[in-house]
Amino acid sequence: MSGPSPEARKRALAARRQPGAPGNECDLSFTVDLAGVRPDALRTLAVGSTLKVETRTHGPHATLTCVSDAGEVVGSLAAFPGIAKLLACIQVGHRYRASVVDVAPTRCVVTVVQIKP
Amino acid sequence: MIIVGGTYLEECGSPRLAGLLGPGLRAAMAISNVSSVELHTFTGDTELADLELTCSTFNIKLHHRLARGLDSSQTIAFEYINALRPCEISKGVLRKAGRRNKFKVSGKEVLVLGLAEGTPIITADTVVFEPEEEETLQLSEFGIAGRSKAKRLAVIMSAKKFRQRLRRRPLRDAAYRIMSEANARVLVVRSEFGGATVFEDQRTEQLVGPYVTPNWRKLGAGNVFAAVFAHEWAEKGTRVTDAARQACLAAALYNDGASLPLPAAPLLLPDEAPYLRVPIDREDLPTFRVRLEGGHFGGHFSYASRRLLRDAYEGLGELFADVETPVPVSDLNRRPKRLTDQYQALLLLADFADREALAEAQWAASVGKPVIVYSEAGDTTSERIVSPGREFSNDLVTAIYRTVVAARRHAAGTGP
Repeated sequence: MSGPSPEARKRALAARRQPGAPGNECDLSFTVDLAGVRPDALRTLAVGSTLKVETRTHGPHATLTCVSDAGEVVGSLAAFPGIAKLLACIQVGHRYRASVVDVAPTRCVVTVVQIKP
Repeated sequence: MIIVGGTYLEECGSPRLAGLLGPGLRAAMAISNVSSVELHTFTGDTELADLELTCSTFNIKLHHRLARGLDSSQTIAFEYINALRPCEISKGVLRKAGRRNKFKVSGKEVLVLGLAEGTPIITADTVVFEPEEEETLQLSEFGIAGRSKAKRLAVIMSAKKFRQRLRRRPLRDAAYRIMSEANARVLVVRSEFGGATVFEDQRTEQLVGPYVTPNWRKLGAGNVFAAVFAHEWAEKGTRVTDAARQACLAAALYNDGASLPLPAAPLLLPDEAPYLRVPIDREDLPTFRVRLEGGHFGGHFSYASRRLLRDAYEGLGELFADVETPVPVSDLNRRPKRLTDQYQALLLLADFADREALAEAQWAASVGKPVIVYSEAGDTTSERIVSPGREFSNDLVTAIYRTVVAARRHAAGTGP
């Protein structure tokens, strides 16, 4: 009986590995509604558009925003479990991007994934 | 504005929602662009950093508490199959813990929303209070013998909860009885569709909204309504009916998908804005009939189709539709209704539609009846077959809402 090769199986397992598994704490992935969406910045976006995930200083605190290629802030990442972990990972040098999966005049849903080195 | 309310993990299948929200945090976020907000809430250790970061993003001052009697590492999670079905959660343990964890909050203006883990004792000039289904803080706590004190109090209550207290009394009598119990100046009864009936000073009664929207998020719209009403009436001193109108508008924007916080600029109506009058008393609502099609293949169900059919049937009923369906409804533990061609709108569950279902939908569209096509898979084949006069949605709760809106408009002669 033939099956997937050990290498193929290893690759498939790696692809299915849960984000945040031990040894892989910053391999995070979330699909979330952006908060504080700026409708003007949504006009140029479509499903599949890519946004940068950046930290901003907000008084004594850092916050997370999604920024378009043109440098416009589209909205904030907030109100979901794991957001603090995402910020901590960015602060130690990991990078993430957000892909637009749904967009409407006042709403934007993104999937945030790690940019692998 | 001080807001007292829960922060919970929420997950909903339709419309899709997953986040750290709950009544308190959602309300705080909603008005954080227009008000200086202080949030009093509980959450588990695991989500505390997420809550702190979210609050700092929107300049919300956080007063966090740990609940005694509950697992302090865990935040309470509410999971919904869809936004029209109640959450399945054991409330017994919560209620017991909630009554044990008493804490004091005082300030100028306070909004009190659902909070399972604790019982606030409020002292404030102006309070807006929305008791939840399983409230820990009772209305009578604001009465003469109660421990919470407010110089001015407005109570917001869902129409469902209000109906439970009607007990065949006239609406006004029931409303004024509630106002007397809580020593409240204002009672705002929120309808299922996002509108409200306002009772003020035992004199006036006025119906405001709701605004019709292309999409219907539903879950959490009441929290947004309460936050905007409290900001307008308690903080800005807006007249109560105007405050309720602004709250209806905010709920409509949120239902249509607007992100929070709401903009600081004046709220603008969604594209589709006409009112859909919804009286509190179901007896006062003109009857309307909806045909539900799809969900079985020549009498054969799959597990998924049976579940979908049941949810659609019950969801339409929740919004007062008289539902007829050719599907053997004995399976749904309902008495079968005679099929007619007198229905006002048709909801087609396109992912499970057989030839007969499609033919009925085509006929309905051809005679000018509104047809709403629901396909989670986003398969637009049925949409093309049933044309013209159809709407399409890949969200079940929105499809149910739009069917009811279309049926009521058709019945009133104001729709397609």
